[in-house]
Amino acid sequence: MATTTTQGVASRRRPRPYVRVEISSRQRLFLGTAGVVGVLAIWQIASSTGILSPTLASSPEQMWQAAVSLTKSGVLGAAALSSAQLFITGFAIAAVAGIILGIVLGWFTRVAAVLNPWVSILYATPRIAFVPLIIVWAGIGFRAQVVMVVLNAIFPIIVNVAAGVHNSDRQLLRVARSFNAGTFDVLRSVALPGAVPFIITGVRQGMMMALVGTVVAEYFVGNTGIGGLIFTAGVTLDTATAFVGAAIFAIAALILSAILGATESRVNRWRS
Amino acid sequence: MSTTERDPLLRINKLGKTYPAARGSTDRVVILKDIELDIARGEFITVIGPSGCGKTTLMDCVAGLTKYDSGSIEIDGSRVEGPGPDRAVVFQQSSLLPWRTIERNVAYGGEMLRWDKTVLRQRVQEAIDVVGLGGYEKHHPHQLSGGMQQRANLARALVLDAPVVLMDEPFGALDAMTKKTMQDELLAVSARIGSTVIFITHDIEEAVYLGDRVVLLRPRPGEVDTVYDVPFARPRPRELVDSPEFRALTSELSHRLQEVASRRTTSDGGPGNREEASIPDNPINARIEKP
Repeated sequence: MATTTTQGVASRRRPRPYVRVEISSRQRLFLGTAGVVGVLAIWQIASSTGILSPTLASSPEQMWQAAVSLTKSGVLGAAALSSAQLFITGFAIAAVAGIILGIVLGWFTRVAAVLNPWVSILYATPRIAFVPLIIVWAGIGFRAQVVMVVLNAIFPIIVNVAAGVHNSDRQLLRVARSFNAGTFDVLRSVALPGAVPFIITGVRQGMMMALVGTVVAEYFVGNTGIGGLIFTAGVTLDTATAFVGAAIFAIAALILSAILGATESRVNRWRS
Repeated sequence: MSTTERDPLLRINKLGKTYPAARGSTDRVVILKDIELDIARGEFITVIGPSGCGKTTLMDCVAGLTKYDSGSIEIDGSRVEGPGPDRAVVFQQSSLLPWRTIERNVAYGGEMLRWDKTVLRQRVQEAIDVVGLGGYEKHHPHQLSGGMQQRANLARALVLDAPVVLMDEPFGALDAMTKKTMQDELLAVSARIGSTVIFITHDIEEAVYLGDRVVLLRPRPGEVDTVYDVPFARPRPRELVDSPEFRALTSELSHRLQEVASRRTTSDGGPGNREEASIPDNPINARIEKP
């Protein structure tokens, strides 16, 4: 039953005041590691005791064994190399073309007005929808796969670079003009350096999308590389190998992100 | 006696500038109307006026950053059509390129004019030393205080050695101490180089302390209200500011500025030297001129 207080209003006990929990980085490290190890341990135990079907759910132990045997036989190495080739080729093309197109769209207003609707449409469409068309037009070889990766990666780059160039600091542009800068002078000395943070954001998004594009290309546009490995493993119910493949992609994504993060902080030194 | 008859470097002749009243409207607001000003070589002109009197627009027109609608601006006989190496601008915000070192920022003007690199490097070092930033060449703007950034801004303009230097409230954002230091440095530098300076400010004391003549603009539309001679000899000591003659001039200016800001049209008699004060026959309010 509710009790009346001196304020005359029926109330339950007051809740404890909210205090934000702060932990040291050491505690954070410990808890984080415990979380990873814990899940792996539970997974392993569940698999060994049969609670989880070893075939369907695999286990850390099986993953490890699969990884070792694939590496020894050279299959993993070859697949990784193939994926890397595809990723790098596609991403490089997307980066170069994307940055150039982004600059053009950001700087030349009329060109942007003409092309922007197309960019928006293609940016919004899930590129995976284009897979059947890509296969029709370019087959299922390396070239078609590169097309897929480029299509996926180029749009975030274009959009971000264009935004960076377009949104140059007005006052700086005014200063440049007052010091007799010509149009390309202004582009080179003010607009582009000012757009660098946007370029990096775009490139980082493009990199992640290139990775996605690589996986999709290796699933659907020719079964090569790690993606192909995963795909085949899935079809043959070799869940251990499938997990190994997924883990490789995850590690790749983390490494790329870390590299780009380091580059980003170096470049942004002067912003502090 | 006016020095302008001897050697006018800059002639502003019936300058006019209008803007559209609103987006898509055909009405136009008159920002500047019939501005007439002759400035002699080496003269230091300060421009004051209430908000909306078109000071910045006037500077933009002389700098070539804005096209004007009527009249003319001539420097050494040639018409101003756009920016040029004969004018250097010091904006109120230091607006240094944040990703460049101080050195490379100060070199910007020379770089745009494609100067020889050796010559430029030397001029840059001189300018940096003159404004007292020696030792900070390799720093980035964010590592410097506001006052130091503004010095770099000034150095950037000095490198050009342009005959005309335009300054739009360059010391407006500085604290009082730094402001006084910068004023004295500016006087020393411009005396040494012999530049012709147009200096916009809100600060009446600054206007009188720095200027050979003070141009007072009135708003809506922007017109020259009065041009005051500042009779004090150079070099001017800081103590001048407390002298009765100085105070008399600043208070006359202050009084007139207040009148002009509240749109009264009477000009009053008073002490001090003055050139023609024009008395408009219409009340000063926003004039919308239909095409």
